[in-house]
Amino acid sequence: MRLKDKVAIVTGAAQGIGQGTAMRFAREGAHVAVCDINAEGVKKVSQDILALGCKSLWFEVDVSNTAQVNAMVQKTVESFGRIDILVNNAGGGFNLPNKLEEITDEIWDRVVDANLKGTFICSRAVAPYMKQQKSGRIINLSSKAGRYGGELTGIQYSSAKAGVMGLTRQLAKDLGPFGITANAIAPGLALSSPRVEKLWMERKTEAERRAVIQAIPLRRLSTVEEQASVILFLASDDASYVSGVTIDVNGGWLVS
Amino acid sequence: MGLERKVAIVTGGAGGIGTATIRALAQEGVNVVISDVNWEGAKKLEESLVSQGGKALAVQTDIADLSQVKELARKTLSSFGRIDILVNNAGISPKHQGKKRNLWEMSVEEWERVIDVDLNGYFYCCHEIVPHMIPNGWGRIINISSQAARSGGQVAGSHYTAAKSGVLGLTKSLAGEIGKYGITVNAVTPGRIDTPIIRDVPPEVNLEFAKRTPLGRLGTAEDVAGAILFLISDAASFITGATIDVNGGLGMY
Repeated sequence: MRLKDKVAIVTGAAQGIGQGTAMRFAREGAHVAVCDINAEGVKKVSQDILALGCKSLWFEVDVSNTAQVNAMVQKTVESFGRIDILVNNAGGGFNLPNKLEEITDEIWDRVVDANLKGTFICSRAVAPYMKQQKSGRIINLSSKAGRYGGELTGIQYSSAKAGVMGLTRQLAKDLGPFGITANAIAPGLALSSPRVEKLWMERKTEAERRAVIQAIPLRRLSTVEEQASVILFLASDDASYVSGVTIDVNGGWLVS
Repeated sequence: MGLERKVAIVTGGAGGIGTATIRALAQEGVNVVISDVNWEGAKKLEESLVSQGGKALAVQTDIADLSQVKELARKTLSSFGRIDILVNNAGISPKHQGKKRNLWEMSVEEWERVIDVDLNGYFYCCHEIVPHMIPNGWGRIINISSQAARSGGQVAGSHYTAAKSGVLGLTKSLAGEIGKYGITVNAVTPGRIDTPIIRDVPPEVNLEFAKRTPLGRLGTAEDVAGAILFLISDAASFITGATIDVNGGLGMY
């Protein structure tokens, strides 16, 4: 049990990588507060965590809403006494138009707010508690899209995810003296939920899908568990001197 | 971790990071080959691990010499029958009275020796060992590069920086070629790690590094071994061609 009695918050935990990470943390002994805009889904994940014998709380939260985030963090500290780990996973492309000319201001704002501003708001909310503890781990979800462009997403998503890398570095610099590390992972395409699977089938022809796989040295897409296991590493003692990095978890995309 | 009875070769195995890596691997039940030019150090580590019930083999190797690398592979196969993991870690970083020499002041021989060990040696080890990994359908290669490759060497010379940058290129290239055989290739770029190799400069130089590091300290060999073990484990099964910085935030790329 690598996270025995640690307290974690995982955002966007109703499905996909967030859900996988929350469950993985619980299996490693952590108490996990989970949030999502999908209340039904995140409640179910919270119940699954309780069933493993760990403590859990669930919240219906839009991470770009400061009041909701602050209330969640406060309630978590009241209930569990501390916050050791924050995983900023909430975000996504929301199946919105990707062509530059079709990206309205509203589409831009929605994607950047959820992926970038939400990461800022959640990090800001936990920082005072982590500083007081003189320890903490913040793990952000960037994306391959933030490095090389995305397969199923547009510039609004790539910009936000590139922003997450910059945010991660500055957090690492500013919070390092308090014993807090900040890191990110940049997943390649993972068929992490039925929603992503649907996009993968709809937005790519069979030939295009084959070409994508062929460009990955490991010749496959990743599983949710393969992303969650890297997040677990960054939350564990093994990564205590790792800070400010973005780990690519993409099967070697673009190296071949 | 599921690594029991796998076979690992760690070059520079008697040094700081090498020893920490070997001890961590042995803890996981891995059969370890300690390759080093320092025969006494390698032999001592072998004896220590064997007395604790582990399986270990010391092999004296200058990785800059292809024939010695061939011998390393041969001895590993004859003792353990297979090779699953290669940690390319051996390296040199010459100093003169605690300082690097500027590029135009270093001897051509010094340049060549550093490239021979820090870059060609990695190539020789991959070249001789990869063919034994491919039939297994699983393998892990971890190349120890350096923060010098990311930011230029402030303490290390241009030969070291160039070789370590070359290691990052080799890592990506090999990862692309070999992924289809279930073998991942990744690099670790340590920052200032408190091991004997960094004590060839005045103490205040290292103190200054610690002060500039967001986490406020030098790294330990165990910090680096933690990242190496992660890359070897199944937790990193979808990571290849990547570079992980272990530097406390001293450099962020």
